[in-house]
Amino acid sequence: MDLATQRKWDQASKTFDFMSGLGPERRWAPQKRDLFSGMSGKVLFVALGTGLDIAFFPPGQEIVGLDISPRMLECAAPRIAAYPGRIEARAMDVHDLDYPDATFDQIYTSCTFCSVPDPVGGLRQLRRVLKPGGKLRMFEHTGSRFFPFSTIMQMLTPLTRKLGPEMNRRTEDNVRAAGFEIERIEYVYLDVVKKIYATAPA
Amino acid sequence: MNDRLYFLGGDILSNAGTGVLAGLVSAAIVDTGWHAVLAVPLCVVACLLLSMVVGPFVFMRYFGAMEVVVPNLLTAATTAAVVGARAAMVPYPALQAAWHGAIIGLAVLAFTRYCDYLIRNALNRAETR
Repeated sequence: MDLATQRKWDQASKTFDFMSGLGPERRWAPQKRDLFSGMSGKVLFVALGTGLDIAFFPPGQEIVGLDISPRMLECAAPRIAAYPGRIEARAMDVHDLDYPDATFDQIYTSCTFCSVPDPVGGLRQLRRVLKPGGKLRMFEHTGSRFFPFSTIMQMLTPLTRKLGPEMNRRTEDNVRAAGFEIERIEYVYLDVVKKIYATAPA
Repeated sequence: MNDRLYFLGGDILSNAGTGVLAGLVSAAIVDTGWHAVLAVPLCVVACLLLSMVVGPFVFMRYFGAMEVVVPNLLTAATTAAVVGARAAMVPYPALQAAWHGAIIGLAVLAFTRYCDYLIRNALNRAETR
């Protein structure tokens, strides 16, 4: 378990809903609802956080929700209890998943791989626990390839990294490097906010 | 209010607000005794840091995440560069600096939205091919 990262997100749990619960969730609601509407089978949701995304899960699913921060999951408890389906919440590091190979049919992430310290290592773990042909669905913000956005996000990443997410990640490259095949990417804002649809090769 | 109008209003408010703050801060830091080569980077750094606080804690909370943070940062840097450089050359009243900051904020928002339209359309079109 990466204790430094766990401490960072335990700390962030105190203000997470205040910061993200209103504007960001409302703005991204249609996109997230659309992405999560494809949930079926045995689903792993990585970085459940305080459970803000649960509002966009389709009802009746059986979902395993992970987060590195036990404090975040404590905050998520009322949302988990209110979900009309079954969510099993577990505190776990994505770099070290305690599941056998090929356990899940689908894996979902939401603004997760901007913060995972070793993104390719984490994604390799996801590929391991995903069944061959299984689906990886990600709602992520990344760095930009376009000036001036790229420059400003690059400049500020050393600061944002200390507080939470990095602003210059190349998540789609990391997804490929971890061995996934990208089916398509849907761009939501600039080339920064996007939905990534990938598959674990059979 | 529907979401489209709410977020448009939020984007306008957050960019104009960031521009006003960046204008005021830059005009307060620099006066005509400064060399512009020193004034501009100092103002840019100060205003980016300010934007990193004001953006997430004030505007992002109500109006969105990256859609707010990215144009706000760009507004802060641009306003700081323009107001900082001008304040090093001529006396710059605070009210005028704030007004110029607001205009720069709105111009940056328009630029960012246009870039969003171009980039998203081009990339989404390429994905569907």
